[in-house]
Amino acid sequence: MDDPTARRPSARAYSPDTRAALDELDELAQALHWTGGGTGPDDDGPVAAAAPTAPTAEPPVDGPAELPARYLEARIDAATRAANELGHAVERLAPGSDLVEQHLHDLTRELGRAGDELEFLSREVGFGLDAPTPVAAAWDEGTPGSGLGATAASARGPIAAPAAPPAPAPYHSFTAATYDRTVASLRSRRRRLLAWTLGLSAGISIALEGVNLLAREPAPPIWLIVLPAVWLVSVPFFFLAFVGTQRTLRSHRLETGVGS
Amino acid sequence: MIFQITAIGRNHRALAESARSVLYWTRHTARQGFVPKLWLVVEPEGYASAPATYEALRTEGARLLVVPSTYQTPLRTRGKARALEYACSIRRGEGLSDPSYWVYHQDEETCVGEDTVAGIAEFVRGPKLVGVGIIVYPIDWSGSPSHIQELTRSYDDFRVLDSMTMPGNPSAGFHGSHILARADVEDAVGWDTRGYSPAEDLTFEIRVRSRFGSVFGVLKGFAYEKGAFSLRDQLTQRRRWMHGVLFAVRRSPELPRSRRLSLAYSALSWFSALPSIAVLVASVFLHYGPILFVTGLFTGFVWVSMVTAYVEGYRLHAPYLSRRVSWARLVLLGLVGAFVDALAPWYALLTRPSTGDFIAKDHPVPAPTHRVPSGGGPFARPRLVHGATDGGPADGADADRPSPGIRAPRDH
Repeated sequence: MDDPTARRPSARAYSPDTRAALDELDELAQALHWTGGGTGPDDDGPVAAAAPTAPTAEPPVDGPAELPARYLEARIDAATRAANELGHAVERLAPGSDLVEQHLHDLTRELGRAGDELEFLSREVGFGLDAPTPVAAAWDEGTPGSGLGATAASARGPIAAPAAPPAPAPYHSFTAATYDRTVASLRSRRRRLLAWTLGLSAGISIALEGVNLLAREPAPPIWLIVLPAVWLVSVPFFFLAFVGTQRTLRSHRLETGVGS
Repeated sequence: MIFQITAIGRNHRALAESARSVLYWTRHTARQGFVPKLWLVVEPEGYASAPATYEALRTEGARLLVVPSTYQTPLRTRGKARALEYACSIRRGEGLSDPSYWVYHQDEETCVGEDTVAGIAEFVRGPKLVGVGIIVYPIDWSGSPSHIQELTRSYDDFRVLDSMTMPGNPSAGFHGSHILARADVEDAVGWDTRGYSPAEDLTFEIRVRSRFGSVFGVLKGFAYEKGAFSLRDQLTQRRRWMHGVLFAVRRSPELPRSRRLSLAYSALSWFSALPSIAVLVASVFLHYGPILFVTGLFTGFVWVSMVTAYVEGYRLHAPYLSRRVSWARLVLLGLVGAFVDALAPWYALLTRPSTGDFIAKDHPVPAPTHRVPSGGGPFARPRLVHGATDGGPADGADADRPSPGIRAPRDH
């Protein structure tokens, strides 16, 4: 097994106590055979586990993922500070390096998002993040500027830690709860739609027939028959659409159930 | 689970938002039961238009596939089908064309939500091999005629879902995005066609049905897209659809006769829209007399069906819209949008299919107001350009600087 500290670029900046705590966490995670999944170009691990041919009973989010998640906050903090340290170093070594600064900007932004994600997990999934973790406690006791125990004030450098969350993207509002409410509402109106469509159609048609009857128009030339016949071309399509919509709303439960 | 966004790539901000919606919701949706991957399949010119955006997306977790300009399919297909076939070839080469992999297809402006991911997770546990769902168009909604016209498409998707899950797809419905296909099925059928296929999605559906039978199912969850920004773009988009239908009717040998007839009928029905309006106008001068007794029986149903599509389409969108429109505006602008839709098939008939149609999905934003040597006086208005960068560094897209001579990577 490779050295766990090698996976942390700024491991040298950690105090011995913190490093020992993180190493212990790594060992615990390995002992529990926990592996983090994710989306990434290098994440060519297990294939989709939920294929119809081999469905799995439980999704990966449950179970042993809880243990490392308890320390995720501390890890993200460490990585953010490492990025800041790196920013300082880059400023000294290669001032004005736009490319590196851009990458560091990306890195810090992603760490900020990871923090948001963690907050979401804490709120929605219920990971136990309320109590301070040992590592976080160790950082809180550290001295500012040492790379540990740094507060937001220590994040001065070319790349500041993201303090405020970015403005929410439009897709943040695309939740299962909203979807479920929307389709459930439509499904609940199905019978009303059926009655409304048939009733109103009949009413309009009767009114038109009445107007036509009262008009007492003479028979038109035979060639004129072709023209209004054009109106009838799309009638079967509208009928299929009406029946199909009704059938879809009746026979498919479209709600995901996730939002309820 | 491969979330695959296939596009030219010039609408890079829309594409980036779609990609980030995948990254966000696959990380924030519980009980997925699959390992998500994000593939961006773009053309070299798309990559060159915004390399920083694509590199940023790559570092965020996307896999970037730039279709080599020299790439040719066996049948030398062009357009989007070529890019889709390229992705198929990559999967075949990497051994991903097996039943445990699925591909969720997105256009560059197709954002996913929590419901989309949950719907996918449920679908892949079921017996069906290809899924199609409902698309709504709330992103960058402005209440323009083209946007109002899209409302009817969402409601029409209920018809599409019914038709598609029935043997023979009697009313000919399908999507090019928000479709989920098992990788082995997709890669067995492929996207390769002889020459340019203007509606590769329809061709794909025909082939899958021909080879695997009625294996289509309903995919729960919406996909979230954006409508065309202008009437011109709407017309161009619809023209492409009609070219696709005509192409399938005339040049799809896999198409059974019954299906060919239903497809031809759906085209005819669409073609009849414009003459119907003309006949309606002509009724002011011509008196159809007793003929109206026959047509009057169905008129109410047609009118109510059309109005219902707008009203229910609007209700489907309402929870996602930040900007509401009045009913009067809905009616007036809906009529304009409907007229463009009526015009589109005839426009298609009079013009040739083009691979060069570019429909802007990046919202026009004011370009930076630089002083220019001529024509840029103190009262000059800022130019509106597609794909221009915003003023502030809000995301990676804003750092894009198309560089002359920049080379796109072949495959990351």
